[in-house]
Order: sequence, then structure tokens, then C-alpha cells
Amino acid sequence: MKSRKLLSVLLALMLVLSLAACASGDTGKTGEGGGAASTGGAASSGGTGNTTSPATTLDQPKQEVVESASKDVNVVVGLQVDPASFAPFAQSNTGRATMMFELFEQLFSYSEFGGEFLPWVAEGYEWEDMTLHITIRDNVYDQAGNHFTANDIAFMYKLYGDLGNKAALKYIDDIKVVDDTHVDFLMNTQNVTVMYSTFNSVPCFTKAAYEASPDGFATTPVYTSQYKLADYVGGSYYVLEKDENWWGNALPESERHPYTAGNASTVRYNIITDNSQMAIALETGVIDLANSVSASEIGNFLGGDYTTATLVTNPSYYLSFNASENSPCSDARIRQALAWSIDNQEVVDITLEGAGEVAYTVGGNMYANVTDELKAAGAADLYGTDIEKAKALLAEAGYPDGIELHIMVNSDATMGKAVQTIQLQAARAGITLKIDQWDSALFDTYRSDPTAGWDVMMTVRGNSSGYVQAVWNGLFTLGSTPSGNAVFLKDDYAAKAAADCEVLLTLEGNTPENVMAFYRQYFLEDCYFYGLYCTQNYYAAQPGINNIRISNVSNVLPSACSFTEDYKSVAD
Amino acid sequence: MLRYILKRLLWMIPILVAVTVLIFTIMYFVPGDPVRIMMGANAEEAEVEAKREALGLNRPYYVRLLDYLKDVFFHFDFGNSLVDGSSVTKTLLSRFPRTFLIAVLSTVFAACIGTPLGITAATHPNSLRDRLAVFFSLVGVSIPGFWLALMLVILFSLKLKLLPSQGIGSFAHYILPCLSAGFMTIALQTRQTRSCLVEALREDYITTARAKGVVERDIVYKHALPNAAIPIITHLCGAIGGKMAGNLVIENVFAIPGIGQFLIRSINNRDYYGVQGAVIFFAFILCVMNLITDVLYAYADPRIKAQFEDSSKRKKKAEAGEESAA
Repeated sequence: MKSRKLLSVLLALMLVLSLAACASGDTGKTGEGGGAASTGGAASSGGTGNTTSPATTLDQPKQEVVESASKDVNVVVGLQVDPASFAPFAQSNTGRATMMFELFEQLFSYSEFGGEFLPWVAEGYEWEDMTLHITIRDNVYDQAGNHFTANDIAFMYKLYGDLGNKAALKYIDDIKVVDDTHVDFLMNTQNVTVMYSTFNSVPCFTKAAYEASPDGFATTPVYTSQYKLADYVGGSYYVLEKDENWWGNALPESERHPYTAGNASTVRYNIITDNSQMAIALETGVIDLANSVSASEIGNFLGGDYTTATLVTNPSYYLSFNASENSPCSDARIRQALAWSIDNQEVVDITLEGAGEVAYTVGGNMYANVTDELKAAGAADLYGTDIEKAKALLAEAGYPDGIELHIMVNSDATMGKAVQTIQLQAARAGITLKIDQWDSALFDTYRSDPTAGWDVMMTVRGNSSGYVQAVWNGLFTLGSTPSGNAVFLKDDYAAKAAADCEVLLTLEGNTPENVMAFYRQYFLEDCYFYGLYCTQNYYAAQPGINNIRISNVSNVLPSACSFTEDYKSVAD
Repeated sequence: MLRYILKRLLWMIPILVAVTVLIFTIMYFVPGDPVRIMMGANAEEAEVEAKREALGLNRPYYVRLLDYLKDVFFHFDFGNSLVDGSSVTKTLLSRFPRTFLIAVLSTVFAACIGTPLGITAATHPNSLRDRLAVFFSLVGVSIPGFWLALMLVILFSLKLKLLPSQGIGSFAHYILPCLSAGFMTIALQTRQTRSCLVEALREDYITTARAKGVVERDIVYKHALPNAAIPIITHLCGAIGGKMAGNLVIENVFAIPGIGQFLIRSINNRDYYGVQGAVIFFAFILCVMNLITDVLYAYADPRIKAQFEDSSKRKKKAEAGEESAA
């Protein structure tokens, strides 16, 4: 009887304590979260394909920096997405994009978003007409000890194409092996993104190791990189260990790619999918470095001993219209009316609580060719807010009493909030937006279907080559949907738009004037797409890490961070 | 009894075939293109089509279904994940122990606390203890699992620094997930035990026992509780089965690589083989749990056990009875 009473008291106590913890936790977060956005470090930019952006913005170093691994440095990183597979051409996600520069090497890679395109496994390149002569270093070996040669490059690209990626290799006509260290890429174009497009998605590995792998490197990766996978439990953690026999050790510091600083002996990635848990893990000393801290949690780390960094990422959020005959948005005036009714800054303030930046096109302000002139032209036109003009355009289009449109968005909470804000703004101009929110799988299916019942969709796009026209190219290319381009047009005008965009990518056509002319025509006048904003990422680390290095795809690069002399990992 | 178990095991085959056909058909017709998700928004249509071809997703429904049935039932192979190319069977088997551990531990935890609470409430109806137990169970069923999980983390990890907040590695890592997963079950178990026991305590045989002067403790534990055990067993076994399939949120919050986490990832990516494999696996686990429930019934209630005995045994017993009567 006594024990039962004791048990009941204990249970009651537990419940009360839980409720008390709840109250205190909430207060702390709300109070400090507001300061996060305004006091975060400086911003810079960058980004990659469907992941993210570039270099850093950091707090000032507090102590002497350990740039190289003079002692055993271990780092535990909180990663919000499980990379799932280490196969060379597996589906990309944030987890994979974060680990890739430690586990994979490329022939060439950017040093940061918008930075230099530097040789890595390759020694250099030379153009001769449409032939790209590549020289690779002659001392490259993979982690199994196989010599990496030009034949392996031919194998890598053949495999990439065979696995259903032929369209990604559209600029390459053929690859010819000259000898062990020389290979020629026979290209069909020379444009501003051709190097990035050609080398960005193909990591270096040998044919021998790949053929010996039982699962195509999915769980047994053998690359040429400085770090190798030492231990893992899928969905929980991955441990990378520095390979002391790495071929790059023979290179002088100046010739190494900046991503290969190799300041850590081991890097352990703990998969933490929940935002609150990520912050708690950093606070309780479970991790040294968080790859992402939410805007509402970053306040807990500002102003204290923690090192923080912020970065405006390059993927931009935008509206895309259904310009097919299935939607009233085939009329440019309807599209313009909606654009005139939107106040981007208000969307950023309400949706992101200020943790973002207004975009004036599809592509943020960090891209080359998004000039002050372009931004000013946008601000003076559709990116201003004029409700009366929006109403007039609607009346002119035959909808004096307003119009109802369906806006489609995926189930992302922030994007849901953004379309709700836009819904309220559009209502002032007489545009009733009905929100259709789908899970990402359905969204990705419906976005290619002009008859799926949507008129406008909100989505996101980026390109880590750093050129805004590379982002635009994906929108205007005919064939990006079965019905034509991204807004379902495939007439002569759409073909002209696609051709004009291709011109912007050429070495001669890549001028601010051409970009401006294209912007005025297809973004301001036709308004097929309307840029909204770019978001700000937050990173935080324990005090011993005093410089958070971020790659060109907006994720932390733990082994290239710098550490204080007295740095001690949570794992030590 | 053995015959009954064998019969039930054989019945599992058509059930699993039906589940397989159903889930395959649902996944086939559900909108959402795994290849489009895999390739990203920047991929061109030709590229997507080529990938679809390479993965064999262009083949007709019946061809894919027959192949899949053959793989599952003749080779015990759930196929390879469309996301990472890994074997779904291996993934499920490697993740199963963690999910199972949380399901069992949280249910045991719930049984150890919920059952005594329910007994206390039932034996003291309308008293303060009863009201507290009812209040507790009401609070328990009302608190969302993910919220409770975060509150426990804030209390035990962040404030008291007693337990790890997430991950795997030691037994301590499983305490908070099991508490979170078991809390609602405690509440339900309390209610279930209370209501069954209150009912049993009103039966005539209890009145008779009391009239004969049997002590109250024996009345509750030897007479009423065994008779109230059937729904309690059903609830507990159901809870294990349910938790096996329903701990998605707990696994995500605590970053535990279990089957729930795998299922969520597979659904979001329309990874057909991942979803199908996990659902068939869950169906198998639920069938096994139902079988265990039935077997436990027999041990809790001799009348049920008698029904399971085969006819020859029953005949023998009847003959033995007649002989002794003669």
C-alpha cells in the first residue's frame, strides 16, 4: 500500500516538473529568439543546385587559431538530414551536400559561391576551340590504393550518363583519353557555366574500386578523398576519419583546394532532424557544431561564448505562373496585377521574422549580374507595391470585381506562411487566392501538369555557379516540363525566350546590358516569374571553433573550420 | 494448442499476400513521381524519363506486381530503395531492434505503472485516489507525444543534465523515448484496468467470495483480476503492435534510426519499395502480436485454453471423466 502511494506521488511530481519545464523553456526561447535575426553576423552568399549557397560570415576569432591539425582534433557536427547514400550519383540532399566535400573530390570546384573555379584532382585545363584539355595530377590514388587515371574519368562520366543523367551531360559530345594524366572533353559549347555544369556533379573514383564495391559505394564508399567513412549507423551517425595516406599530402599547401584544409582528425555527423533538438544538442554539449540553427533558436547562442555565422543562401523563393490556356494567368495583366499587390519586404518580415532578403528576380542579390540597376528597375516596376494599379490591370483584363486564383505550395511550414501573407496582400487588390498545399511528392508531380488546377505556385530554385542567367535558364528551357517551359509555353515566343537565355550564357552574351534587357522583357513585362526572397541560414558552434567555414553549397565544412589552441571536442 | 498456432501461422500467408497487393496497388496509383523527386526541379523531362526507364518504373502494373510478389514471398526480398539503392530487407532488419526495443520497453513501463494505478482506482471507487488516477489518465491521453518528448528533453537533458537528449549508443539513450512513447499508454492502461476491474468486482462470484470471508486482497488479485485480464492483455499487446508501427514521431524527435523514421523518409520520397517493405513488415509484426495475444488469452483464462485443445484430447478427457464418474 505504501509503495503504491509513493509511486503515485512520484508520478504526480514528474507531471508537475514536466509542465514547469515546458513553461520555462517557452519563455526563454521567445525572449531571445527575436534578437537572433538582427544581431547575426554579416551575410554572404553562395549555393548549389537544389541545395544551398556560399562562403561565410563569421564572428571575429577570439583566440589563436589552429589552422592545421597539430593535434588530434575531433569534431561532432549536428546534421539535419540523413545523407542516405554515398553512391557517386545518388539523390542529393542537405546531408549529402554537407558531407560531400569531405568524402568526395572533384576535378574542379568553386572555392566559395561566386568564387574561383579551382583545380582539385585536376592540375589544370586549357581550351582549344571546342576541346577542353584536362591534365590531372599524376599521384592521385583512391583509399584502396588504386591509381586514378584518365581512364577512370572516362568511366565516371560514362557511368553518370548510363544511370539516367544524359541530359546533364548535354554540353559534352565525347571524352577521349590521351594518356594516364591527360583527357580531352569534346564540348559543343563554351559558355559561362560549362565548367560548373561539367564538373560539379561528378566525384572522382576509380573504376577498379567501383567494380569491387558490392553496392556501388552506397554504404562502402572508396573515393580519392582525404576522409574515409570509418563507422556509421544509417539515420543516426556517420564518422569520417582522416586518411593519413591521402595523395594530397604530397602537394604544397598553396596547390591544395581550400576545402581540403584537413584540420580535423575525425568528423562525426549526428543526424538530428528536429530543430529544437539541434539547439539542445549544442547547448548540452552533444555536438560541437550545428549545420543549421532555426531563426527562433539562434538567440540562445548570440552574445555568449558560442561562435555563430549567418549566410543569405542563394536559392530564391519565387512565384511561377501557369501561363497555359488552362489558367486565367495566361493573361499577362493578371500576372502583373498579382505582382503589383505583393509587398516583398512585408513577406520577409512576417514569414521569416526578418531573417531573409528581398529578391528582385528569380535569383538573389548575391548572383553575378543582379546589379543595382537591375534591382532599381525591379523596385520601380513590379517589385513596388501599387494596389490601384493592380486593380486597374484586373479591370483591363475583364475582372473589375476581382478574380479567384489557386496558389499551390508544398507542405513546408515557412512557405505556407508566406503564401498566407501573399493571400492577404492580394485580397487588397481584389484577388482571392485559394491555397492548395501539397506534400512535396504531390507538389513535384502537379508542378509539371498545366491541368492540375493551379494558377500560381510558390517554389524555390538556385544554382551554385553564381550566374543568375543559369537560374533563369532552367525556367525558360523548352522541355523542363512535358508541356514546354516551366510556365507551359512552347510557342515561337517561348522558343525565342529560351534562345535569348542561352545567349546570356555564352561568353559574348554575358553582359549586364543583355541581362537587363532580358530581365525587362521576360520578368517585368511578361511577368512569367516573380521573385520573392532568399532566406538566411544560421550556424553555431562551441567556443573552441572560432571560424565556421561554409562551402559553396551553404553547408558547414567541419574539417576546414579553425580551432582554438585549447579546443576540446564534446567527443574528447 | 500447437495445432491452433500452426493454423494461425498459415492464415498469415493470405493476409500478407492481400496486404502486399493492396499496398503495391496504392503506391502504384498514388500521385507523386519518385523520379521527379530524385532528380530535383532542375531536371529536364528527358532526363526524368531516362531515369524512370533505368529504374524499371515504366513497366506495366501487373508485371511489376507479379515480380514484386515473387521477390517478397519466394526470395524474402523487398527490393532496393529508390532513394539510395540499398536493400530494403536489410535496412528493415537493421532498424527493427531499435523500434522493437522502444515498443516493448515503453509498453512494459506503461504496464508497470498503469496497471497498479488502475487497480488502485478500481478498488477505491469515487475516492480521491480514483479521481487522481482518472485525472492522470485524462491528462495522459490529452498530451501530444511530440510535445511531451520535447518537455522531457528540456527537463532531463537541458535543465537537469541527467539523460542524453537524442541519438543511440547506450541504454540511457532509450529512457526518454520510452517515457514519451509510454506515457499515453500508461493513461490508457490505467483506464482500461480500472473499468475492467470495476466491472469484475461487481460480479456475483465476487459477492459470494466476500460472503465467504475471503480477504479483499485475494478477491482482487486471485478472483477479479484474472477475470478482467483479457481486455488488459489485448490492450498491452495491441500497444506493442501499435508502437511498432506508430513511433514515427518519437523516432524523429530523438533521432533514433528505427523503422518509423525509415517509413517517413520513404513516404516523403515516394520510395515505393521502402514504403511497401515497411508496411508488409508491420503487417507481419501485427499478425504475430495478435497470435501472441491469443496464446496469452489461453494462459489467462482456462475456458479459452479448453477451446483450443483438439477434439481427441477433449474426447479423452470426457472419457476419463465418465470412467471416474462410473
